[in-house]
Amino acid sequence: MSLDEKSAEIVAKDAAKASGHAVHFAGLAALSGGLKAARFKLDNGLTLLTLPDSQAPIFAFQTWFSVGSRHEPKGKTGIAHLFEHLMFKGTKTHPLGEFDHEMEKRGAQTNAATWVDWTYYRESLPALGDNFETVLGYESDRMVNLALTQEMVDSEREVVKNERRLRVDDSIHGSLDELMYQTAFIAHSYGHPTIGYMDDLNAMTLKEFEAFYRSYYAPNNANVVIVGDLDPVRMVAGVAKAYGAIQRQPVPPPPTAVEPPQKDIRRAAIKKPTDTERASIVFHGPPQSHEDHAALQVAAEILCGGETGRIYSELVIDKELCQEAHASLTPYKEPGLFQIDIGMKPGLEHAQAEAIVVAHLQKLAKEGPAAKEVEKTKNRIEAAFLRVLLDADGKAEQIGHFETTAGDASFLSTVLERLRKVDEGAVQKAAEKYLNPNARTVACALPENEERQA
Amino acid sequence: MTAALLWSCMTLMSASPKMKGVDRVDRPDGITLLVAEDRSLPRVSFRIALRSGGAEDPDELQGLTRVTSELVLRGTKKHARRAFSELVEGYGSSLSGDSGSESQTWGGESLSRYFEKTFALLAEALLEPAFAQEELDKLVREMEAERTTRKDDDSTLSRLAFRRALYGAHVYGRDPLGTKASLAALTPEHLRKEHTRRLVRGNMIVAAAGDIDVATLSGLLDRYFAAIPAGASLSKEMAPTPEPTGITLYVVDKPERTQTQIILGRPALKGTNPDHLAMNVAATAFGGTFTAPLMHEIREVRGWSYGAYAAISEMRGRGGFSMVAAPATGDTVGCIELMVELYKKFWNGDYPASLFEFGRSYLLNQFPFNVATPDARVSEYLHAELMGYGDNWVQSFPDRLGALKPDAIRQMPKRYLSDTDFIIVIVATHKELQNALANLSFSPEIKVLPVEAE
Repeated sequence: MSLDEKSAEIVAKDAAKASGHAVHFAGLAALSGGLKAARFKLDNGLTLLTLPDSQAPIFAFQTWFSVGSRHEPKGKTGIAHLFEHLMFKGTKTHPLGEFDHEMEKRGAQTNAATWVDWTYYRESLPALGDNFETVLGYESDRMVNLALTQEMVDSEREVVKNERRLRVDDSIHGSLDELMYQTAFIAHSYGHPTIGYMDDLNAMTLKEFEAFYRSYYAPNNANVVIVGDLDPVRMVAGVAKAYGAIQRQPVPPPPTAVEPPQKDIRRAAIKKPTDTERASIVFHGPPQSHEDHAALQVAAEILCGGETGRIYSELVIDKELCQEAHASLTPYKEPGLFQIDIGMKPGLEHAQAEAIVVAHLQKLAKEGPAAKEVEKTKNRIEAAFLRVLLDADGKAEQIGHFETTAGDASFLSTVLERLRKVDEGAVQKAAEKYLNPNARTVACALPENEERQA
Repeated sequence: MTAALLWSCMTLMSASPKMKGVDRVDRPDGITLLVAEDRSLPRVSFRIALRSGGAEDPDELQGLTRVTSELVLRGTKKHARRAFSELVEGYGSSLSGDSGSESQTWGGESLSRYFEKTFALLAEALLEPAFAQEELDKLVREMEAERTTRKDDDSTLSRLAFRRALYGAHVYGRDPLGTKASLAALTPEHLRKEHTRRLVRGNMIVAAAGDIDVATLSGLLDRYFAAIPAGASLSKEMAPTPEPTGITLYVVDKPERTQTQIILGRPALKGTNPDHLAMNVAATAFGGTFTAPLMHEIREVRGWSYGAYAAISEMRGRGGFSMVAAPATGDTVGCIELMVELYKKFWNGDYPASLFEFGRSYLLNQFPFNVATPDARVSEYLHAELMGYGDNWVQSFPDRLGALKPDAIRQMPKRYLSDTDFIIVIVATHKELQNALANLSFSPEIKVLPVEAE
């Protein structure tokens, strides 16, 4: 059950008293369906968002750091992700392996993820005994006490190189995605892969990881999110006690490179041992916080959502040119991409399908969608929103993502509100503004045994 | 209150008093209802499952179940495919079909306000499918294309090859896509006849989760599914699975691999075997967690693979035990040797009882997550129902687990596995490994399978 403002103020006072550290209530963040997360701040800059949830006797604990592959300079690609792996290697007080063993013994589901704008660590546990305090102990400890060795770095580097082989080098989807981002972005760091280039992974040193740790893993660069069947005072007091003494640090400013407007058609291709062509047709789009983002999300659904999506139904069902067709929009902090991915039927070339995609984009920009299409899309998006709020982990992820990328977890409800307000005119304008066929990037994977054009 | 509630409705509570249960109704007409009611979000997810699947397909019509599952949703006697999809997607709902060797399922989700309309459309699809020749032809072309495109995914390739090598001509060894000849032989009449034979009350389970209760669901069933005929369950014992002799290494030869997908395994025991849970604990302790010996030795110590897992499948017949890893090409032979060494140690009971005690407590503490959301709860109960485990299966899990003795768990591999008769499947570039594989210390019989044959 969500806290109201008055209760949250009381929780902050009680937590301060119990922990011996100042705790400031910093407002409620309205989510969706009446849910509100309470935001608290510690003097060292740490932000805590709590959402009591008694749906099941479990809790989700997540720590979100505002650092991802966007913050990596050239030559250091993949450092944020590889460092995320190293965070599981033990600290001055907890040796290698203890964290994982202790978590698994308690039935925890643990993991971590790195993307362009953030890195986060998650643990979900039964809300029993001292599980909560144990997680707090480990998470607050590894925010400052990580103890890396060369041996740990070397071993984990090999793991990540194998992850890259799995997800990129031996994967047509992964290779194509990497090529597409490289081609679409010429200035912004969104153009390089989160997993990093093999040469960069090979070159990273222990010292560089230690410097990265000191730069970005600071309480004032982190959001802790707790959702679950726990008493609110216990949540807040526990965090204040565990993290209150950690010192804030200067965090490097984010990179400032701005992607120049694309004014031409860019093409790139890779050859792969495959019988089927794949292509990604992409356009520069707005950041997630921009008002146009909602209209473009609706446009993506109108074009490829379900069997009735315009592009999907023509390419996959009616003309049988493609095996699949998807459209999506990146949920990035800075301007990202609107992406249409097509997988051709074996033996067919992507040019014909690409022409149909372009014709649909032009039609949408010229005539806009039908009212019925917009309505359908809103229902589908609403259903998708509810799906991600099913469990404690899903709620925590939404809170963490929006607090980290938009600076406010309540942006979740803003997004939903904006989607509800999108009308035919907004979709048309957004299509006209962003989906300009003369400024598209087309990346494709071609069968290596045949003479084909990108 | 509908008549359904006067029948044998019971709430199946889990071991924890805080854990929510699932309502079950065995209707006199033979249909079993499972409902996990939860009003916190305005959505309903639902499934209609049959206790029979691809194993029912005649040899010459393999793939029939998969085709039926999908074709049912591609047009009815009242609505052509496009019109049907317009209705479903117009509500923001989704419907899809799924099938396996032992079951066939249709399901979806919808916003609460559109649930009845969506459920009515699913009833229309199941009771009055068009099975149009044109749509059948289209689907067969789609499945043939899928047969080609799935070769692009090495993990899928390895799983398919493993299944085929393990089970041969047994129904478990069948390709879910059928064969080229069997798909070509399918007619609308085949589909109609088989669908009618299988869609009978005693063969049906209806499950729903979310903003719904038993009375409402039972009422909707009476209203929309009244035409379903009576008939008995088609659930049956599976024929004995073949036994591997010696050690055979299958190489799916694919060009330009930088990494090798490895699966080592053999048939183990039936899901209904009373020892299945103990064997599951054994496999989990050995390779089902991050700290398990398999993951530790392959990933943590050597950095050879991003993941390394062991698992036991749960089927009516003898499910397989498998170990998987994906090392770089250069580490492949070393990784295979190590996997075999660890497997033999596992088989021989060389790991301490404390490891199996750890696996047991891990699964016990994980249990709350298996039933944390209404969707998860109903899935667990539906699985138990399809396996024919009886009423008390899910909620008795903690007690059954608690009754297992670590030393007895340790003995399971020797009872159900073999250190001399098993198979290894790899997807790799054969010419890169040919010499090294010939020098493997355990001298397996090596069979090379061209990727084109998969």
